[in-house]
Amino acid sequence: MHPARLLALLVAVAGCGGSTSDSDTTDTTDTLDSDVAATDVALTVRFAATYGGEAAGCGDTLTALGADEVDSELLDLRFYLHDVALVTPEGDVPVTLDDDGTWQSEAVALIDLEDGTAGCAATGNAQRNDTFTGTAAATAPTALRFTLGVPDDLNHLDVAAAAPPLDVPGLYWVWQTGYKFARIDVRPTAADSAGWNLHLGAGGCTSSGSTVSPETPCARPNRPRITVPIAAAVNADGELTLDVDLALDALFVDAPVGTNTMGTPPGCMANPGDTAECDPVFTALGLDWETGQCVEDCAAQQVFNLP
Amino acid sequence: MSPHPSAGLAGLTALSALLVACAGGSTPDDAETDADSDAASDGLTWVRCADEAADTDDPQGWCWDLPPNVTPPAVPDDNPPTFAKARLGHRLFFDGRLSADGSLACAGCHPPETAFADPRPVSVGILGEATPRNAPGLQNAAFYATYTWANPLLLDLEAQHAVPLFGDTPVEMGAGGSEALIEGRLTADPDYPALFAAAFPDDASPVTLPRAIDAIATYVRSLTSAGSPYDRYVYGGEVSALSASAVRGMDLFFSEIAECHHCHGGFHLSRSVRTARSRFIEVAFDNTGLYSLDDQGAYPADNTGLHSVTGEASDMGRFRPPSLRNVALTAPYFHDGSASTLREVLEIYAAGGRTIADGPSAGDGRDNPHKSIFVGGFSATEQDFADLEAFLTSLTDDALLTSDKAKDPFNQH
Repeated sequence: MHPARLLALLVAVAGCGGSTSDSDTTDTTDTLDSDVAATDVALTVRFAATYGGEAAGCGDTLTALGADEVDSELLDLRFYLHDVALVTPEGDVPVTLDDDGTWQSEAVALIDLEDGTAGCAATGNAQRNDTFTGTAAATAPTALRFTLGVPDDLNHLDVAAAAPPLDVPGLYWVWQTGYKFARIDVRPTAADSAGWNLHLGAGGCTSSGSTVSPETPCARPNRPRITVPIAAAVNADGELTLDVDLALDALFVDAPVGTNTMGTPPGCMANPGDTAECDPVFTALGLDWETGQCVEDCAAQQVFNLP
Repeated sequence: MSPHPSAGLAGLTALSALLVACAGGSTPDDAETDADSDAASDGLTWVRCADEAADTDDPQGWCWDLPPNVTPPAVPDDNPPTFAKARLGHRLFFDGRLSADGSLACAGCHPPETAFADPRPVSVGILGEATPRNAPGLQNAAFYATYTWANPLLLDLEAQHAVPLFGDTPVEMGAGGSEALIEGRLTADPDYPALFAAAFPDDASPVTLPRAIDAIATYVRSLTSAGSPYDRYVYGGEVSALSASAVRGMDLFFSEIAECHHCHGGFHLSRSVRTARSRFIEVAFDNTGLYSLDDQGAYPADNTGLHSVTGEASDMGRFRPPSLRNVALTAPYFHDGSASTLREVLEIYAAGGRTIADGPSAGDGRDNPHKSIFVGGFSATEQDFADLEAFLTSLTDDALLTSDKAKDPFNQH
């Protein structure tokens, strides 16, 4: 469900108390609205890619990356996220994303940590976006929660017609498979290596053809639910600013970056058959490769962390 | 192509009448009748509007001939499209008088019969000098992020026009140094002054080469294609538009086996794309392993692609992926016209690049160190090749190629 709609529903459920009278409902809602307004938190989340604890970007050498410890460079680093919530003692409070018409709609945000330089020149672009913003009625959150990827109801749009941020051709396959939830491509810097791509997206999608959207969700959702504990506090102005690291060393820790199984696409395309390349990165994200579901709420993921 | 004598045009009234043809409210029959009865000059009625609310009577108006699901292309702020500009540009595109010696029109290397692509391996300028490149097709050219086969600096069609008009290595149309001569020809023409004035009403003296470029760029932007069997199948839900073979080919094309769609995906069927809503331009140039003259992956020296602009070794052999619309009509293929048939192209990709046994270009392109990660090769049966060819052929848009805007306005009587 849409976070805003879910919030409205929660408010309505909490406030209505079973009454069906129009006046009661109106009064209650008004009261709750003012309560919500009084405790709204303006959330800002900033992402930074790191390698070995240091900031990492296009042009930096990722020394001894992955299972086979090959020096590598970034080729791309972008991902979508949605279903953001702040965790409180009372439960998860949905965050309504601000629709800026560019990097985020109310439903999904695009984080773009590549700047089109060095190795990122081939597929990237100059514009970066490391931040998303939103609001939530949560006074004392203990953790940030979000889902990596594009929600299922938006995942099989026509990229030529979709509204931002879902209009990026480089983050789209076709109708049947939908969007690349994350595109994190690296290349061993040895001259004979073409590259090793991580294209995370839904798996096991079935429809009558590649250009036809599935009518039922794909068998493997492949959307890790990420939880990051909160260290910062809401300030006097009702603002909460969080920094989250994306640790590339943790993501690729067991990935065979220096090799690729013959006959399969280079790296992990989240396709059945890509087991040798995908299983390690899925595990790093807390996902089960076979089912595409979180293992124990994806709690084991170490990729997204506090700095 | 020789310069064409131009028929008389009865001024702005007739121009307006011609522009009504896309018929916001009137039926197609009415439009045709109107155009016929008021016909002057070429008698062509080629503007179609997807947007029925567009004011097609207004020479300063504009509409895109695109279905509502397609976001229109970006246009430069200083050259918004109008019917009057496109109409003028249509005429100029087919007019050899834009070249220094009057012999070569844009259409000379971009003939509409072959979907505006040069049927010769490489295009030839007015002095008989061969360019290193095959002039590409123009349908949906407005959607590219950059222009020409490999130049990241040419960001719109207006900038691109400098290459064929003024380029001197080699000379193509040879307009450089002949600007006054060419502008004089246009000014002396019975029709052009009124057409330029209608297209650029705020200009005191609009008959200039820069304005001619603005008009031709607008005409080229009007050459949109969204009516192929593939479009009808995918966007129109017309299941019978594609054969079973074409559907199999399409699924292979969009698969992680053949990997074609990484560079030729989306509505544009090219990853070099920019629309009115694009927030950023993704640079899209790829080395597809066509050559490898040495262990550094060298391409022939006159055709090194992006490398020739940037000087970066890693940009060797990187060229813009072309849109595949009408690709069945645009042989020969690649930037240098070095593959004669679609089948030859498909076999090169299936092999993961091209091996050239001997001659000055000998080498194994499959081993090119700068080759795209997606040109890894794939195994394909005879049926697979036939299916891929059937799919590529389904990208042919007869609606554009048979429309009046694809016709030579000087040869309509």
